[in-house]
Amino acid sequence: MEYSYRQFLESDEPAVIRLVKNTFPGFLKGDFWVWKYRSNPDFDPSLVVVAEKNGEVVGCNHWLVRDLKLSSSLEVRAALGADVVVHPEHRGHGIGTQLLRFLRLSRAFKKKGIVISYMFGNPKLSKRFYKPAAGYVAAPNSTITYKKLLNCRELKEEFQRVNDLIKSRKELQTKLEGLKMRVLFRLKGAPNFTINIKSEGVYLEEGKGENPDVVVEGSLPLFSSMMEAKKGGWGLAKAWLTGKLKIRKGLLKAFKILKAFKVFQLAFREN
Amino acid sequence: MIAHLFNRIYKDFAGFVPRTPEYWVWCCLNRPDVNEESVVIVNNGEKIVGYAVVGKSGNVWELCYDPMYNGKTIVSKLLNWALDYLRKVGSDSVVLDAPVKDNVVREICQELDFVETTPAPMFVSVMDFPNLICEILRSRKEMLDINGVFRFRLKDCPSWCKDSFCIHVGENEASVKEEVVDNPEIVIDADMSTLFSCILGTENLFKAIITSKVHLHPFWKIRKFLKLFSLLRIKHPWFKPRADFG
Repeated sequence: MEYSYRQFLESDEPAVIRLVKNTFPGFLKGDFWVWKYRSNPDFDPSLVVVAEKNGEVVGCNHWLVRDLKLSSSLEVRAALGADVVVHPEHRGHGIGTQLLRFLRLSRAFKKKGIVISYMFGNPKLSKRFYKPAAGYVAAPNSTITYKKLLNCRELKEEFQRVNDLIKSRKELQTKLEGLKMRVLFRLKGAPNFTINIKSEGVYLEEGKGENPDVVVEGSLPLFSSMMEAKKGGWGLAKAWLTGKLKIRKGLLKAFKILKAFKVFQLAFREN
Repeated sequence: MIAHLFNRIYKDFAGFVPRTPEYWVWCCLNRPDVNEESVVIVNNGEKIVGYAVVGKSGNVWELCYDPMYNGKTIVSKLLNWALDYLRKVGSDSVVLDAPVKDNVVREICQELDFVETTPAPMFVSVMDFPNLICEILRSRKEMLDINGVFRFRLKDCPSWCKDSFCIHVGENEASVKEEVVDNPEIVIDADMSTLFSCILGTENLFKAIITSKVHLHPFWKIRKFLKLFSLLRIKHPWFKPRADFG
């Protein structure tokens, strides 16, 4: 049976909340949906679209109408596209595209005097999803985000997942053989932490640790890009050559760190 | 007072929702991770000169200060308070957004060991191009010193958008005519996303003309078109407060 699309009905609320919560479990805690939509003074249920298959809600898209400032003397009626959700088992069938287009095609936006729509999204999806689906282009940006970690809990959890994967995969353990060391990271924007690398696994501890073999200095975004493999070997070498990444102790073990990080990157990708 | 302060401080920015008391209460005060304890206000006498709305999730949803007063002291107080509060409630991180050129926030953040990262990108699409153009021109009507009929023919236009329309400009007024005019002064052929990006300032109009993404007929009227375009171009920097999208 094909997917069908329609405007939200009051009876859809539990299914929509369940779908959104299951898709964004870490982000949407508590009464987030109720606050964002039901308690929103501008919430208009006719601007929520659901995708259905066999009577089951498998996707939804919420729009919030608001005035958006375009200059000191101009505000236009705009629709914010928020929480486009497709159930993981139903992805790849063009549901997201149809959800973005449904209210545009039904002229619902035009009737409400909406001149532009906007959304916050993933830049990787811009060319292959947002633009072809609904003509989205990147907005100018004069905003900067400042971040500081207060503890290493998030990093510890990430490394715990890496550790679990290494323990379950013999070939990753083999790759870590001979790379036993303790690496202390002193990063701007984060407390100091030490990564203990052993062939049987890896764990992260907050603090300076005892007798690190290598001491690395840099910044939190650089470390994140190292882990997400945005920077390959050359990227790291470039960061080191330009002084963004400094190895204060154990320079001779730099190649060992590179090897270890390749294993972590593999594990991160699989996570 | 808080909504008024926010609107006054960011009056020369675009890309955000102007604050009304109702909107501010919803997007800041009623947020699930915010309570009255997590909003800090700096006063000078009875006047509010700065405030921050801090969520237990670690997000500083809004931070605003009046630069007419000692901005560095106000921002320093607000951020130190936010750090203490977030440590107390057990948050893992602190994240805040500010305009790129806000050197006061930058300086204090550097002192407090924050790092700079890229915010979530924003994407915009046009629902009603003729009305968008008209609204921009009307907002600048005191500068409308050109007359004429401009016909736009847009390529790659989604079916919900008009791909051909005329804008009549003259005597401090601009209006849309969706029917085709026989003798427009200038015909502009362009693909919609390029023209919109040029208006937003993310693409260069001259480059678009040179690379044939934007065509003008007759070309010798380019000066008049550029005059129109200078009115259409959105020149204000875009500031996207965290509270608008979180």
